[in-house]
Amino acid sequence: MAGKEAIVVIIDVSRTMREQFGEEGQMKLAIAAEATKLLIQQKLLLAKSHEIGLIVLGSEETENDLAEQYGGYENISVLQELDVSTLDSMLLMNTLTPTNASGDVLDAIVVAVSMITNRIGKKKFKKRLFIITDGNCSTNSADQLQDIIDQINLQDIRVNVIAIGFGEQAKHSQTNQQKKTAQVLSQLIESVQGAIYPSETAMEIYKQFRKRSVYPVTKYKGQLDFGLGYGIDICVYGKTKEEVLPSLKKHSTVIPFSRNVDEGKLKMSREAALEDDPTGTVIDPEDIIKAYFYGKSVVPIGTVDEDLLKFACPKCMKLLGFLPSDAVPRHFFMSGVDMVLPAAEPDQEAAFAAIVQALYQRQDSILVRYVSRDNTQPHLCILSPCIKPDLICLWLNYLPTEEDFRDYSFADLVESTPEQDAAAENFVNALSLDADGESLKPSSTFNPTLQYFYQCITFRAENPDQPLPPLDPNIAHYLSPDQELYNNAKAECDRFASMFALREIEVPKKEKKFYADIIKDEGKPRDDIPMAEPFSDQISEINPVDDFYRLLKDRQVDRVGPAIKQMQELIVRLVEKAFQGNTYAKAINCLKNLRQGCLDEDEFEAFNLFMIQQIKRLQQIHPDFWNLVVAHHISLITDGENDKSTVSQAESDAFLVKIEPPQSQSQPADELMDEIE
Amino acid sequence: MDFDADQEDVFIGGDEEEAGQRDFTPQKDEVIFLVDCNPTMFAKNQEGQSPFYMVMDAAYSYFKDKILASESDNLALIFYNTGHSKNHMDFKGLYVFQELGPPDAPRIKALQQLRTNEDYKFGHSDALLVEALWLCHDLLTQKHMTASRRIFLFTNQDRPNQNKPNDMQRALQRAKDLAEQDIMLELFPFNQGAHKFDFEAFFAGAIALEEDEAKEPILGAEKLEDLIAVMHKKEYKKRTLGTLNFMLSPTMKVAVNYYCMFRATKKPSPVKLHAKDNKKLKTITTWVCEETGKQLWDHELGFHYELGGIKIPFTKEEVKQIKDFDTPGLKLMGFKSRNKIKAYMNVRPSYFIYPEDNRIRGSSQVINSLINAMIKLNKVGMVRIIPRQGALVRFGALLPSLEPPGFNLVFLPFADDMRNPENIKGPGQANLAPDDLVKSAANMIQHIQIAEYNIHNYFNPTIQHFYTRLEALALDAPEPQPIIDALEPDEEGIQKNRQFIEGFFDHAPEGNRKRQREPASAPAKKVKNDSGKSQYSEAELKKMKVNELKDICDSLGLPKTGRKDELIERILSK
Repeated sequence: MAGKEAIVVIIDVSRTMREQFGEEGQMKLAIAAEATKLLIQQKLLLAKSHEIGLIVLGSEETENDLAEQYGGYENISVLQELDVSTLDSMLLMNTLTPTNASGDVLDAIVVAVSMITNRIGKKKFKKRLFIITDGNCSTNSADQLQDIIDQINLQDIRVNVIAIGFGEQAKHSQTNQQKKTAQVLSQLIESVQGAIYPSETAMEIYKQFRKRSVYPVTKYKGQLDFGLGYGIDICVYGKTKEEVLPSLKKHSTVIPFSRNVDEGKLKMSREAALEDDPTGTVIDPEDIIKAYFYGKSVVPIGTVDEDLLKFACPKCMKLLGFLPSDAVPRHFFMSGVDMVLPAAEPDQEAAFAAIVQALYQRQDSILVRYVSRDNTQPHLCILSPCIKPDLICLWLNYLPTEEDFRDYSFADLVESTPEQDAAAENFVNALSLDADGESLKPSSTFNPTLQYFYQCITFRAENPDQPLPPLDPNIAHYLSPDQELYNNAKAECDRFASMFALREIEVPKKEKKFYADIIKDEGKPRDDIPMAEPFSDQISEINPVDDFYRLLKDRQVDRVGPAIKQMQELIVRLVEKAFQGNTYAKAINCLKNLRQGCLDEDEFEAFNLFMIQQIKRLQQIHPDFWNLVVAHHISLITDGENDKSTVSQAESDAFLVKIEPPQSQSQPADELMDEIE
Repeated sequence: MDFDADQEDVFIGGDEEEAGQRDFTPQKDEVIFLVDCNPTMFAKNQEGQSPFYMVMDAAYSYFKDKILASESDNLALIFYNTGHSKNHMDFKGLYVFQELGPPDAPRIKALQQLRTNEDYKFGHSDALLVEALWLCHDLLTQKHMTASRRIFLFTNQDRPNQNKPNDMQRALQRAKDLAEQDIMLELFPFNQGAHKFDFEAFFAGAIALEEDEAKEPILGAEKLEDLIAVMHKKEYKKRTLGTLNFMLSPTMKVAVNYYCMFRATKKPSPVKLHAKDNKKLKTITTWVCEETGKQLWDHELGFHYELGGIKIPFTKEEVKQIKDFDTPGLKLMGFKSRNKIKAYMNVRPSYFIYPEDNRIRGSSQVINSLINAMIKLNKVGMVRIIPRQGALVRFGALLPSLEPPGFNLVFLPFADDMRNPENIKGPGQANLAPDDLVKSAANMIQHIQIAEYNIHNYFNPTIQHFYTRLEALALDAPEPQPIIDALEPDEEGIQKNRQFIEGFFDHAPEGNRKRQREPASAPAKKVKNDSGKSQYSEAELKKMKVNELKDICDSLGLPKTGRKDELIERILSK
C-alpha cells in the first residue's frame, strides 16, 4: 500500500519572478502560484491525509525556525508548516506577490529538509520537495552541498526542480546567476533522487502539477521465470491506468447549509427486499442467504465450502514462449499497462538488458503467465521491449483469454475504386499530425473532463456563488480538430469528399435479404426446385381471405396496396350482388379480415376511408348488411389501436350505430367525414 | 491496490458509466434447438457418430456455455419428425423435449443422459416443417422482453416435405415471416453419407442474410468438430453497442456502428437470496439526516465535493455540464504513423468500428478506401470519441483492419492516466548489455518460439475451475478432475530446448546462474479436508496475515476476534 506523502514546496518570490514569461506573458510568480494551487488542490481532493508545507524564497522578512535558532537563512519565510492542507492553504496562493528581495535556494532547501525532519521524523511518509524558481536566487552555500545531499538522502526525499526558463537546455540567454543555479542544482540532483524540469512555457510547468502524483508502487516483485530453475529478478510497476472523476457526495438539505463537512451528514442504511416486491418490505437479515447461480439452479454458499471454488495458484511470472511482436494484434490489449524493470542489481540488470535488446532487434515479444499475488487470477500477458537512452524496460500488457473474446463476423465492405483510394491517400497525408513535433501526444494531452473538473472545483471554492467558468482555452484547444490543419488540407478534404456520393437516409429501412437473393445475383438461377403453384396476385371469390393474407405477406413484392384495393372491391361486389343477403356472411368475413390486415399493415387510413366512404353508403340500400357490420362490431380503427389514427373511441362509437330500416335518415357520409377530421 | 490508500473511498462509483462493464450488458437471448429426428439422422459415420447425437453433444456444450455466459437466456430443445407428439399446439410429429426457459442443472443432466446413453425413444414420423417453424414462432413470441430470438435448425434433409409442394411453399413463407419479425433461422445442415446437403435446393430461400455478417457458404457437416466450429461462430448474437456519426472533415461525415469484441470475464459474485424460497433480493438504500434523524427524500439530498474539510456544493446538472463537451460521435483529428502508438498507450479493451450504409449511403465505400490508404501508408487515424450521452470524451487510434473489415479503435491514455515509474531508477544512461550476451539471448529467443498465437488455446483457469466445480455441485456430481491450466508453460517443450536456455544463463552474470529452484511454493491458502480439521501447521499460520487467519477462522466456524497469536492458537486447537 502506498503510504502518505509529505510535500514541501519552495516558491521563489524574489524580484525577477515578476517578469513575464512564455507565450501568454503571464507573470512567473503567477504561474508558480497557479502550479502550486493545482498541487494543493489534488491533495485536498484526493489525498486528505497527505501533508504540505509551503516556503517562500526571497521574502522581505525572514521567518523560519533555523533563522530564529542559529541566525542566517535570511529572506526565507515559512508560509505554512508541514501539515494536512486546508482550503486556506490553497487560497494563500492568491496572496503571493513578488518582492524586491532575493534569497539563497540552498538555504531554503535546508529549511525545507529540517521542516520535514522535524515533522515527519521516522514516520512512514513518502517525502518530496518541489522547488519552483527562475534561477535568479543565490547559491552561496554551495560549500555545504554535500551535507545537504547527505541530509536529503538520509531522509529519503525526492527533489523536483521546476526550472522556469533556465537550465542546460534553456533556449534564450541566461544570467550568470541562472547558469550558476542550474549548475549547483544539477549537481544536487545527480546525487539524490529527483529531476530538473526545465520549462519554456506555462503549460510545461502546469504539466508537472496537473497530474495526480502517484508514487510508483511495486505490483509484483519476484522472478521472471524461464523454467529449469533459471530466472531474472524483476519488479512490476503501473504505467497507465484510467483516472476517473471523484464521486459526488451527498448531504442533508433539511438543515441549513454549512461548508463544514462535519455538518449535514447523512447516515446510509441498506436493507434487502424481494426483487419483485414493489412495496419493498424489508427482509430480516437472518433470512438472507448467499448463493451462486448455475443457470436457474441455486447453489447456496454455506452448504458448500467456498474454498472449493477458488483456484489456488502461487504468484509468478513464467515464460510461455517468445513470438514476433506483430503475432499479437495491438487491439487485443485489454487494459492499462504495467512496466517491468529489473531488480536494482548489476547482474540482474545485465541479463535483463540482454533479453530486452535481443527482443528489440528481433522485433519479438514474450508471452508470460502472470499472477501478481498468491491466489489471484492468472493472466496471459505479453511483454514488449522498450529501449531509450535512459530506460530499458518491458511493457506488460494483459491479453484476453478465450472467455473474453466475441468472435463476431462482418461482411466485406463496398469496394472502392483506385481513384477513390488515391484521393484517400492524399487526404490521409494532408491531415498528418506527425510533422513538426507530434501533436496530440498522450503525455501532453490532459483529460479535459478531469482538468475542467479541477478547474471548476477551485473556482467554486473561491467563488461559491458564481456559475461555473468556461473550459480553460489551453485544453479546449486540442479537444477539437485543428482548424489550421484542416484549412491547409481543404483541397484534399474536398477532393476526397467529392469522390463519394454520400447520402443520408431519413428513415433507415431494413430489407430482409435471403441467401437465394445473392445466389440469384450471382446468375445461377435454379429451376429444379419443386415449388407450389405459380403465384397468383388476384383475390378470388373462392378463397378471398387466404388470398388476401397471401398477398399481404408476400415479401418479394409489396402487394399490400393492391391487396386492400381488391379486397374492398370484392366486399362491395359481394354486398351489391347479394340476393336476400346470401353473400353477406362472406362479405362480413372479408371485411373483418380486411380490418385485421389493415391494422397489421399500418393501413388504418385505407380501412377507415373505405368504411366511411363506401360501407356507410351501403346502409341505405343494404341496411341489413350495415346492421350486421354493427352487430359484428367492425368499427373504425381508433387511436387506441393505432396511435397514428385520428379517430377516437367516441367517434368510432358514434359512427357504428344501427339504423332502423328503411325509414331512418342518416347523416350523409361527407358530413361525417368532416366531423371525424 | 496501487493507489494511495486514502483515495479509495472517494473513487468508488466515480463514473459508473465509464467502467466499460455495460459494454457487454447481458441481454436476453432466446434460442430454440429444432432437431430433425428422421431415421437417417441416426445413421453413424465412420467414426461412429450420428448427426443426431452430434447435435446432442453440441447442444450439451452450448447449454453449459450459456449457463456461464448469462443465466437469463432462454433455451428450448424441440425434436421433429418424431413418432410421439408433445406440444401445446397439438401438431403431429413435434416433441418438445425441453420447454423454452433458462437452462438449469436438471436440464443439463437430462441432456447429458440422453447423449451418453443414446436412448432416444421418441420414434419417427413425417412432420411438417411449416408446423415446426410455427410452433417455434409461437413459443418465441409469447414474451416480448427479449433482445434476440433465434431458431437453430439441425437437419440432413435439403428438400423437406418435398412430396407436399404446398407445405414446402408454406414453410418457405413461414421462414420469411420469421425473418420479418427478426427471428433468425440458422441452419446447421448435415450431409447424408455421400449425398452432400444441397443448400440451394430449398433453404437458400428460407435463411435470411444478416446485414453486415460475412456471407459464408452453408455446407453440410459430417463430423462433430465441423458442427462445433460452426456453432461457435453463432454462439453470441452480434450486438451493436452504439451508432455514431464519424466526422471526417467539417463537411464530410459517414455513419458507423461500434462493437465490443473483448471484455474481461470475471468470476461472478454470490447473489443474496431469501432463505425461505431462494427468491432474489434487491437492496434498498435510504439516507437519514444525522442531525434530525429524518429519512430523506431524493429532493432533500444535496451534492458536494469535499475539498480540505470544506463542502464545495455542486448540482447534478453542473456535474453533467462538466462531463458534456459535445454530442456523442467520432471526430477525426488527423493521422499519425503507426509506430507512434506505443505498447504502453492503452487503457481499456478496444472497440470495433464498422460502417453503416443504411444510415448514410456510401459510408462503407469511404471506410474501405480509408482502410486501403492507411494500410498502404502505414498510418493510424487519431479520433476523439464520445460513445454515448454522458460518457466521457477520450482519444483513440483507429487501426485499419482487413479481416474483419473495419477499424479497431484503441483507447489512448491521457497524460493524467500515465505514471512515471521509470523515475524510480533515477536519471542517467541505461546500461546496455554486452554484445555476446545479447547474441546468446537472441539465440534462446529464436529457439523458444510459439508457433502461432491463437486466442482459442488460452482459457482462464480461475473461471474454468470455478464453473467446473460449481457445475459438479449443482449437478450433485462427484468432485471433478482438476482443470487443465492452459496458462502454464509447456514444460516438455522447454525441456526439449533446454540447451538454449542454459546457453543464455551460462553466459549471464553470476547472479543469474543456475539457482536452486525453491520448492514449488504451495498455494498460501490450503483447502481443508473433509473432516473439517485444520491442516495448517503453526509455522504456516505464523506466516499468514491477520486477515487470512480471520478468513480461516471464519471457514472453521471459529470466532474471529483477538490478536494474531490467539487466532493461531484457536485454529491449531480446533
